[in-house]
Amino acid sequence: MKRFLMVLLAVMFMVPAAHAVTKAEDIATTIMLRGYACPGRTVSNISEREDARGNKTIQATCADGARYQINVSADGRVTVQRLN
Amino acid sequence: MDLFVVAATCMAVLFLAFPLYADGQSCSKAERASGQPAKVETSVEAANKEGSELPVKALESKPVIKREKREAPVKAVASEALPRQEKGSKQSEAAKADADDAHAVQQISVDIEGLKTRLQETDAIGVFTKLAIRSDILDLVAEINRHRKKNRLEQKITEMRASFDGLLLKMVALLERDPDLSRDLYVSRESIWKSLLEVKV
Repeated sequence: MKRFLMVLLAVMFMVPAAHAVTKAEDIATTIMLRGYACPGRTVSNISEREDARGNKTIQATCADGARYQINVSADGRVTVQRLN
Repeated sequence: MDLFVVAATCMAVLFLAFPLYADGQSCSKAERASGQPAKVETSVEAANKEGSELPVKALESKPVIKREKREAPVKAVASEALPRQEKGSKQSEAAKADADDAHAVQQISVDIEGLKTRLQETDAIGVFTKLAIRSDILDLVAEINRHRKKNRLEQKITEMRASFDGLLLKMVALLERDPDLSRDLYVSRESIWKSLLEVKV
């Protein structure tokens, strides 16, 4: 019984891990959608902040060292700008 | 021993999960590379048998096209030699066909709502990617409406369609982890384009 539960838990944790998109991949894809190169399709050093109006600002670094700022306005508009 | 069982199970799950994903990916890439919509529609037929929502409506619009193709030569013959009664029956058939078309249009509009929901709920792309796509769609609709206000939409319709096709291809490529949704979006691209042209706001 204990062995069966362990197997079940392992399956439950492994299957979503194989299919879900990580936040780093999501941000990298957003950067690429706006026409910037982001090799490796992942980012690092993610910093995120939100102001009182609901506008969200995310900064992340791509594998080639380029740092980008992603602005998500309160109404859901997404813009990307390169910082360096 | 327990750890061995867990590790073996994890390996088995990974082995089962990734080949499935790889199959879907290679399938969608092959479809894109070949660029043959006929193959896409046959795969939709297969999906339809399994009971998915959208392909049903995509398929229901197909017989309309086939019927028009069949009717065209018949109409040419009728105008030459058929008696009036047969012409009357043709008219009633045409009325039925119009009713079917209206029914199909209603179902297509329902489809687009379903597609929206599926896009919002899919795990194949992240939240920021979805928001970026939404921004692109809103920009395209705003541009279409701007051209419509200036009465230049007919001149710019080719450019708008090219932008739409580019955006759709981006979405299809991004949804490689959700091949069903990707295929359904591609198959119903004409309905999506028509619905975008109808958006007034």
